[in-house]
Amino acid sequence: MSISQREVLGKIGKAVEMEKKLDLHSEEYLHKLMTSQFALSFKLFLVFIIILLGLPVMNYIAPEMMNARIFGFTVTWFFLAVLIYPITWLISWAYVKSSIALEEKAATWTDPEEH
Amino acid sequence: MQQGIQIIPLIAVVLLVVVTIGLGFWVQKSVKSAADMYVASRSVSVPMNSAAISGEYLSAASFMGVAGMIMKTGYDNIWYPVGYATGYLFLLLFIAGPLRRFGAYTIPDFAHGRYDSPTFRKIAVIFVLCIGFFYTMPQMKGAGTALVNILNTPYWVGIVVVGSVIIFNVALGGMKGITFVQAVQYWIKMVAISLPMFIMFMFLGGYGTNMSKFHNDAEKGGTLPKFRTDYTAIYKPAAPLNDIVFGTVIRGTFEQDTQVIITPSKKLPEGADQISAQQLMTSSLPAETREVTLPTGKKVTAYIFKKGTEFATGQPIVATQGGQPILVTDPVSGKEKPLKVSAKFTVTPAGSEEVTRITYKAGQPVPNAPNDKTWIEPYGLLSSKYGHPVLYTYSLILAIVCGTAGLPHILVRFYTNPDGKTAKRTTFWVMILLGCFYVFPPMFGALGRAWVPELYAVAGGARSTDSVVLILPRLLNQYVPYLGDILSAITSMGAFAGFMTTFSGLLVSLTGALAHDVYGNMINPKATPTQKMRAFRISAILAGSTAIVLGMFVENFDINMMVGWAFAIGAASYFPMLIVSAWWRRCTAIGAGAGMLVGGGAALAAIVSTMLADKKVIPSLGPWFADHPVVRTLFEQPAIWAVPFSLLLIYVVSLATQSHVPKNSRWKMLVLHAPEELNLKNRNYIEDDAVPAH
Repeated sequence: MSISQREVLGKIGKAVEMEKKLDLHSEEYLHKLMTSQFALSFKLFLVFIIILLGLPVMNYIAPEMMNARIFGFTVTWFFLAVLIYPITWLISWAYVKSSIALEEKAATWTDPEEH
Repeated sequence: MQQGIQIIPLIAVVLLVVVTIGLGFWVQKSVKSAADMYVASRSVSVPMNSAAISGEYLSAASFMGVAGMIMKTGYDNIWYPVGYATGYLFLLLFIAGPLRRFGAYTIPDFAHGRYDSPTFRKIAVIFVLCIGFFYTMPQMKGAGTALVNILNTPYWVGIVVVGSVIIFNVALGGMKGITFVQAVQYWIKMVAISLPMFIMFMFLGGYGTNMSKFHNDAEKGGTLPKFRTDYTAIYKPAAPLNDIVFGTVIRGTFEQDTQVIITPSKKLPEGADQISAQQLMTSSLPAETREVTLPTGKKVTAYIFKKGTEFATGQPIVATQGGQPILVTDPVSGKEKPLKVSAKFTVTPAGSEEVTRITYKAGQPVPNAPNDKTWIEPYGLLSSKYGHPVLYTYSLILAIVCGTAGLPHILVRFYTNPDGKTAKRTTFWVMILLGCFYVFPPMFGALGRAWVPELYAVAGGARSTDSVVLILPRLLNQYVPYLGDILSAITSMGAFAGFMTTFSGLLVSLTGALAHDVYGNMINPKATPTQKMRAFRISAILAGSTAIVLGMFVENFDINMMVGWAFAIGAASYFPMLIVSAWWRRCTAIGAGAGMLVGGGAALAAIVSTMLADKKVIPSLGPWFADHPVVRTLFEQPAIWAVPFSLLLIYVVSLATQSHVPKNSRWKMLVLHAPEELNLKNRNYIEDDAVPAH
């Protein structure tokens, strides 16, 4: 991407551009773009928040199970000190992959001729 | 006892400093423009940038503090590394991509650009400087005390060394120079924490093997760690370092005439039967006593133990009221159980000695240590201290996670990515690099408890759980000569790299705020590239020197407390502002500003009030907090209410000021979220001057 391209659209909200790229600048496009990205983020956020905030609940309501011993650890220690990191990697991998795919798709929602 | 200069760690630290300066010179050759200095020309590759972000983020607190806290009070503290690492997931999901795409350089740029409000930029600058300087203070203190440990230099030497090296690097190479240095130092830290641990596994047994030594069954759960050799603990005469809690019968010998105040280990409820000092002891008390006035004005009796006297504390006894046992409800199981107390000593030398020395024989239980069950299971000493462990745990998680997403020196690094997509990929790799690192501090905590339990004996300072990362590896000297010293030198180097990288990251963001926001936007908006580069260098020296001076003043502050302040303000100010600005179109500058100021301010005020109570600046506050444990918990860990409060405030105030919604807010949201393929560009806040087009 050249430097000049970056500067071309510098002045915010030029009327000329608004007309020319009506599609891209329409309410519908922005709405579709934001809701689809937000839905993806929020879905994965929910998955993770349930794991993260669910663990203290499990520790509280099922202490016997969580404090049972496994490979020398307690279940909850092994989960929080070791297993949780690979889980976050999986979630962020899923996010990066789908989010970039979504961006590529979103670029096709408008007419490529116009820009 | 280690005294004098330790040659091997000294060599390691000198080597690290020389390498850091050398890298600075080497990178400096390629720094040609203001864009290089401010944002590394936005061309940092994903592997380099993710290592640099991780390197910058892993402070000495992560390197030494987390391991020490886990060793000290156990399971609850694992939430710290987990929160530090997973905060990035929230950044990734909601903030990283949009923020980079907007093209602003600093958070104040974003605040200004998103709302077309120069006033908002000024408010945001103040916050960057506040959080930044708050966070530099613990780094400075850490550097000072680490050098005290390694070289026995005066406190200020460490601060001046770390400060000047980093100022030099930042002033010379700016963001571009520091990016490379930080990436290299991530790998230094990763090796420094993992290699010694793997070697220790070979001699001391694996992670699981060591964990299995701690019991949590009904029969053996009460086990306390025991001294492995005879050990002389040194107690400085300053609270709380001179408090010693004995959980059971423990024998020790005073090495000098000592004045001891003996009290029950827990505060007894109003109306409870008096427990005499003798009831808490197995050995008999000396005849000589002295009346001592406590800071609260209360008069108590202190016993004078002569030099060489052996003492023995007693088994825990049940506190009574009118002859009946006092029952307390266990906050986790909900079961009622009798309140048991044991002896607590507050020791001061009775003669002219500066410190109190007490010798414990091998095999004696270690004072101040939690028992196995309390240590290994959730809802232990940390979260249960005010009787509301679940509330405390949740607020702690929220503070760390949202605080991470609101640290200005981390956010500024996202602008060095070429585009929003690489910003997302970078964050993914950061999570992997951080996750790999954070598996290790709990290992140091566990092996520390098993092999160097004497560190529990003193509550803070050079020979306490705080320095487990430096002291545990020395144990290997028993197996292979000098191996322990070499490994300890490696971990010292890692800790030192921690101070340097985090300070350098903070310095870049502080310098950016001064040079770009204050000079480049408020003082001289028409600055030429040469002037901008000079402004960056002058700002780096100014900000760095200020940090050095501030560092001198905080020798007696608690590192974790200062870090907590920075995180709480970040969590309740920047985080809500950023997330709402990126996703809610109808948000106004007034709303976002109000939420940030009032939310952040309220969180800060709450934390400061607990500090004022603890340091007895406002004497009546302490007892009031003691009577209101829920309020105390909420004030000490304010994120659980401050973050929603700040979000709500942004929402309500924005709705009330809808006429101030920026006219082109739709365009702005489009710039934040539209894929790069569409070539929508906001203006670049740092012009790519002097860089040949490529």
